Amino acid sequence: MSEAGVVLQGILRQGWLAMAAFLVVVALLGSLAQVLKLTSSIFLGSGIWVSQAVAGVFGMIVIALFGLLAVPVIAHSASVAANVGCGPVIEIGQFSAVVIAGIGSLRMLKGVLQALVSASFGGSGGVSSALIEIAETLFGMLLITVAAPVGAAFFGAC
Amino acid sequence: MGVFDVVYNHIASLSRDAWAFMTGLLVIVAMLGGLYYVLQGSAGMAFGGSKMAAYAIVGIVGLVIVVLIAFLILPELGDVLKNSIPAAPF
Repeated sequence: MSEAGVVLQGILRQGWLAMAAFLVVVALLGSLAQVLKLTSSIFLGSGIWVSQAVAGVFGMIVIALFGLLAVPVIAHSASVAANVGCGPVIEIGQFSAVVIAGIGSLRMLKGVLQALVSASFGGSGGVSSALIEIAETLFGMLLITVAAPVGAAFFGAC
Repeated sequence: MGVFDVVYNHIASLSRDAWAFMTGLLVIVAMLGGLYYVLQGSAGMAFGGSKMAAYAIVGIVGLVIVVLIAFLILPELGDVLKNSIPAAPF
C-alpha cells in the first residue's frame, strides 16, 4: 500500500506544479487584461473603469501571492496535524493521510485558481466562493484524518 | 511536471499567443489614445482653450505611464511569481 501511496503522491506533486504554473500564467494574462482595460478607460475618460482596473490588478497580485505563499503553509500544517492511527490500521492511516493531504492541497490551489480567473473577469462572487471552498477543504482534511484513529478505537484495534 | 508536461506546453503556447495579441492591442489602443489627446491639445491651443490643452497633456502622460507599467512591471512581476512557485507541501 505504501508503494501505491508513493505513486499517487508523485502524480499529485506533478499536478501541484502544473497547477501552480497555470496560476502564474492566469495571473499575468489577467493583469495584462486589466491594464488593457485601464488604458482604454483613460482613452475614453471613464474614471470608474480606471479605479476598477487598478483594483483588479492589485487584487489579482494579492490572490496569486496568497495562492503561492499561504496555501502551501496551510496545507502543510493541516497535513502535520493528521493522526495516522495505531495498531493494524496504521498503514491504512498513513496511506489515507498522504492521499488526503495531496487531494486537499490540490483542491485549495484549484480554489485559488478559480478565484484568480474570476478576478481577471472583474467578478467578485467567484473569489468568495473559492475562499469558502478552501475553508471547506481545510476543515475536511482535519476531520477526515481524525476518522481513522477514531474508527480504530471504536473497533478495538488500538 | 511529468505527466502534465504535454498539457502545460499546449496551454503555455496558447498563453504566449494571447500575451502577444494583448500587448499588440495595448499598443494600438495607447497610440489611438495618444492621437486623440494630441488632437484635443491642438484644438485647445488653436482655440485658446488652455484647459483642453492641459487635459490633453495629462492624458498623454497618463497613457505613457500605464503602457510603461504594462511593459516593464508585469514581466518583472511574472518573474517574481515564477520564482515563488512552491514545492508540493505533501
